[in-house]
Amino acid sequence: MSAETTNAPTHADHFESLERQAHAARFGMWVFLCSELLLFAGLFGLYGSYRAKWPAAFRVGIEHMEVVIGSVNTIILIVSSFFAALAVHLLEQGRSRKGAIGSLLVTITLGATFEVLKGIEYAHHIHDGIVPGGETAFFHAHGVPGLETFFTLYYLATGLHAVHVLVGMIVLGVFVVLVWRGDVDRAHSHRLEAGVLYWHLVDAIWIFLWPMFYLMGGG
Amino acid sequence: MPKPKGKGALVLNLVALLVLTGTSWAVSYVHLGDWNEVVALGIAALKVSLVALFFMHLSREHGSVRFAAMTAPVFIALLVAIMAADIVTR
Repeated sequence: MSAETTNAPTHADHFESLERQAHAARFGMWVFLCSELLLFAGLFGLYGSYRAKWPAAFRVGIEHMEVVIGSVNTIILIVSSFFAALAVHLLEQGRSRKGAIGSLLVTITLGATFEVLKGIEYAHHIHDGIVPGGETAFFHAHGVPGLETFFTLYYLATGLHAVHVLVGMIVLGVFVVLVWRGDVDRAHSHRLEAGVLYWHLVDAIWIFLWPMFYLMGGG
Repeated sequence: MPKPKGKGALVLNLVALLVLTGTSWAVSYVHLGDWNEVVALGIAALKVSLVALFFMHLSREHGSVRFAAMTAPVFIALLVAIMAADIVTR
């Protein structure tokens, strides 16, 4: 692999064509994304089960969530997904490498903003006595069976998701360098697309976590 | 390589996602009983579909890729449904 541009885009020896290589890259990435999604599957399953068992606890728990921070974070990730998709589009068009890099940097910045807001939110929870496992005055005061379970699930699901956001930021950061150096160019844009697919998964998971932990309360 | 659909499609998708997000938030304040859960999760499923189809390009992908993409969501739906049914029917 070299940084020099060639007139004929090359593909690896074990593929018949560049198109086949690109298809294999995307197919493989989707299979990996599904395995990452299954990592969350157990948590979704636990949510469904414990919510069925302790519906009151889940409603009370959600009432204590900060909907504004959660909703702003939802918007942040959706907008970041747009910029990630835009980066792929700009690279595919081949007209603006700097545009692609700029879009990726915006995505990463939005991801960092998400993480900061999440950290602030966690700090608020801990200040209120809402901690995983729940042996604090907050839980004693409420005495709703299953409330600790709700918040432990919340910490597990959003914590695991936050780790994925961080990994996504690192992945996109690597691609900023690769696109800048020309190692990932228009002919090989499927590589960037694979990395961006991971970011979209992070957005997609949060699209479900948001109603689960912030909206489906009250009633 | 065929010319991609363009920035316009991406912007349209972004607007649709933001509108659905706002709708989901607004409906959460309306008391619909059990339907609140259905609406919230239904809108979430619709939003993820839009992300998958138009940001992740599933709409222009080969059938083999679409099949691979469907496996995890289908199995998760089965897992959640059966686990919850276990609890509810005890």
